Amino acid sequence: MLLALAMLSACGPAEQSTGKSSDAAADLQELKVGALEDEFGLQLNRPRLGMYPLNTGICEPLFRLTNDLQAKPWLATKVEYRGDNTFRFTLRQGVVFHDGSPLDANDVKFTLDHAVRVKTQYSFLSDQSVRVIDDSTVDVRPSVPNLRLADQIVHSLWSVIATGNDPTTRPNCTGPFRFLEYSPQSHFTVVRNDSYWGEKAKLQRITFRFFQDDNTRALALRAGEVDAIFDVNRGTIASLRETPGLKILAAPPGSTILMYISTRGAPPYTIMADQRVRRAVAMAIDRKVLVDRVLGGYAALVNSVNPPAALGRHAAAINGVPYDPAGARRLLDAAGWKLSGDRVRMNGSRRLALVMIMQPGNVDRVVGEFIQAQLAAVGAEVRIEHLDPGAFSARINSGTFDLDIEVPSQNDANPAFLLSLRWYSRSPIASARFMPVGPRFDSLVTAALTSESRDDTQRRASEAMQVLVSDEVAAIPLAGIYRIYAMTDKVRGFDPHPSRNNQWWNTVWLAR
Amino acid sequence: MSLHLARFISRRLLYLVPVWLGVSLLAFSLANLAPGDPAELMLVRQTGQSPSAEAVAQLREELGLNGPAPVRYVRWLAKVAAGDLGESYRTGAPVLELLVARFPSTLELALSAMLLAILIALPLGAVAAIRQDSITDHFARLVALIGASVPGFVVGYLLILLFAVTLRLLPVAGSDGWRYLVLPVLTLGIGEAAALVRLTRANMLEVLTEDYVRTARGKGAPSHTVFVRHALRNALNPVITLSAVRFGRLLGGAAIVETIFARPGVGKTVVDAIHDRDYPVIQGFILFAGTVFLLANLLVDVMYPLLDPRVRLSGAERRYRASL
Repeated sequence: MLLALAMLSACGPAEQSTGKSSDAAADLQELKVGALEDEFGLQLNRPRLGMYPLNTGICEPLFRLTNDLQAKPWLATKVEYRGDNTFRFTLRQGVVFHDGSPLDANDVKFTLDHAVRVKTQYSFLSDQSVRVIDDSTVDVRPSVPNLRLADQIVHSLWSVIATGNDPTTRPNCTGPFRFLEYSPQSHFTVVRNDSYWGEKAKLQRITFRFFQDDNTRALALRAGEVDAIFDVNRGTIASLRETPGLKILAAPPGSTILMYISTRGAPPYTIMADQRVRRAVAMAIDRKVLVDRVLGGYAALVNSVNPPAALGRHAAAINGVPYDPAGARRLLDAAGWKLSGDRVRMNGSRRLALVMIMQPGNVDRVVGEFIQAQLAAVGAEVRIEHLDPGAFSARINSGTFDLDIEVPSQNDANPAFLLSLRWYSRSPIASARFMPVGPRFDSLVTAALTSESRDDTQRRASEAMQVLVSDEVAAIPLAGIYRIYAMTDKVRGFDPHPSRNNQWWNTVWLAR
Repeated sequence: MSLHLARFISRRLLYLVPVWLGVSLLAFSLANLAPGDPAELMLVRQTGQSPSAEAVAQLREELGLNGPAPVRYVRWLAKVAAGDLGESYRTGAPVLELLVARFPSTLELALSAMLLAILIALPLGAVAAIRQDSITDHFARLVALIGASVPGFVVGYLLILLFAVTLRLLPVAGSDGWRYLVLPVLTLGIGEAAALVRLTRANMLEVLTEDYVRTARGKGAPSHTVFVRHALRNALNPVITLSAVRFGRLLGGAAIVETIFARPGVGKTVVDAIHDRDYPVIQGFILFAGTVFLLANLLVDVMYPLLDPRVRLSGAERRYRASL
């Protein structure tokens, strides 16, 4: 009966690609991409349509984030720090918006002022921050001391829009593609911008279709409904790899599976206040097995909390904590945690029982189970709590957890971004007070945030990372995560970016 | 409409008022008691980063979240009475507008699935009962067992694999025409059919032993008349009751299927709202769905006397009270 129903329905008009692309389709150079869930409509008045979190190539920032996580001049040809917390941006000449109007400093001012107006809680800007010097020069002075502005401005949220444009309905930008159509929860379509100032896009059109479900996205690729998909679920990699005509591409690590530790948690979450216990936990986890077996090799061993590329040559200076389960047991013994009859250590009447919180959509469950098993082997009991975003944020902000596994991404070029956000004593976020590292860490982060030299910033950030990860063990980097894409063999020129919202599409083309 | 029926419906509608108020209180409490701060989650959504405590406090004030819960409940209820379900914290869109925009897709899915389930379950359950312990009966029971045991999402993926990936007969996911409805309806309908097959079979078996069926057979009535007119019609009441209850479940439970098949229905919208603690949307949906569910039950109650003349309104009323 099911077959009959399906046969009957197949008699209807063909409404989607059958995967057998005709010559005409190949000539059209239209790429269909299976994207994640549609989040454009989730915030009104935010300058994100086609920009963030899905970057469709219609808008561009002043500086771009390269694949090795550095800031590269883009709509601005240079930036110079002029002292007094002020940056001067010089704009590229000959750039026009999709409506044909030329880019000038007023557009940059409009963009940044718009971000302030709609409260893009990210900028540290005010409506007094931007001053137009002349048509191609603009000064930006953050509302608080912030020497990392040039590193942050690469984020796709800072894409430049034309003066007077409403980016929530029809963005008017300068990118290699132009906005064509948006159907919420269904698709977002862009077409080639023939008057683009840089290298013209090879594709004539890209349709991004939204699939919230990872498996459905993969099945759509296998069915030929889309040519490429984002963020391939590790569980589906094997079946995609075995499908003829498909290939898997991986970007360098752009995010890290990271274990946050509640070093000053609210009672009774106080076990991890002891640095010896924290170190023992780190020593008990075989990260190589996690990378090779659990994550199927689509990950890298890292010692830093953000991708090593962001730290440049200084990343190598971070030692991390080596795998040493015997050492972990000795440390726990020394800290007063003795093995009891049921294989869980006790310290007086207290069990070495830790609560680990996770968000299922954020981290593979299997990672949590692996850590649970590894810590059980040294006598620590771990209870995993899978929480939805609301409950998760409540727990994080009340310090009611021992361990927390998340996957933070590096979407800008600021090497100290995560350090200053999650552990820094001056961080504005509520959860930071439950994870303090210490004065030495704080002073290094301050130095990283206030250095005029990028190399010096990377060095200071690496030193702070060394304190965080190796000395104080206040966080445990578990693995650097490759961002995985899958596509048909006919998709060429795709250069996978470690940061999803900085993916670039104008080099992509379709082979016949 | 008879006077009796009109009175009956009037009374039912009056009963709906306290029940509806109870639903509204439940909706408000459930949304507001859940851990997590909607203001903070909104700010996280905007930038992908944890917001400052000051920014959260400011947004809480803007959203009116700082007042006492009873005061907020009364305010909300007053707005609801005026037909205003409030605005989504996340999108700023009016909740009623959001639900009205998304509900048809879910309703289309749920109604189609229920119709398919009934079309499968009634004949299969009836035939299984009539031919008790035959191959047909064993087959129907096996199908019902599998249908009830296999989770909906597994059925969904298997259907996609077969009809979209392997046979390329249907689209994988989306909502761009009736062909996109086939697989999600099958996914939801198979599970519902499984429950209804078993109930139909059990009721038919019971009815087939009744005196009036024996009498009809003894009087030489044709088999199809005995089975359809006398047995099946009398076996239908519990099936209809269960269908109404399960229809409510379908409305709420469509979220997983909507997620798998990328359908922009209300179920998925509400799951997202729960994740983000978007109180107005959660409250609005519970109220909306609760009202639809109450009306569906009212419809079933009205159908009883129409289907079975032996059912007196007072009996229907007793059943109705018992169901509350």
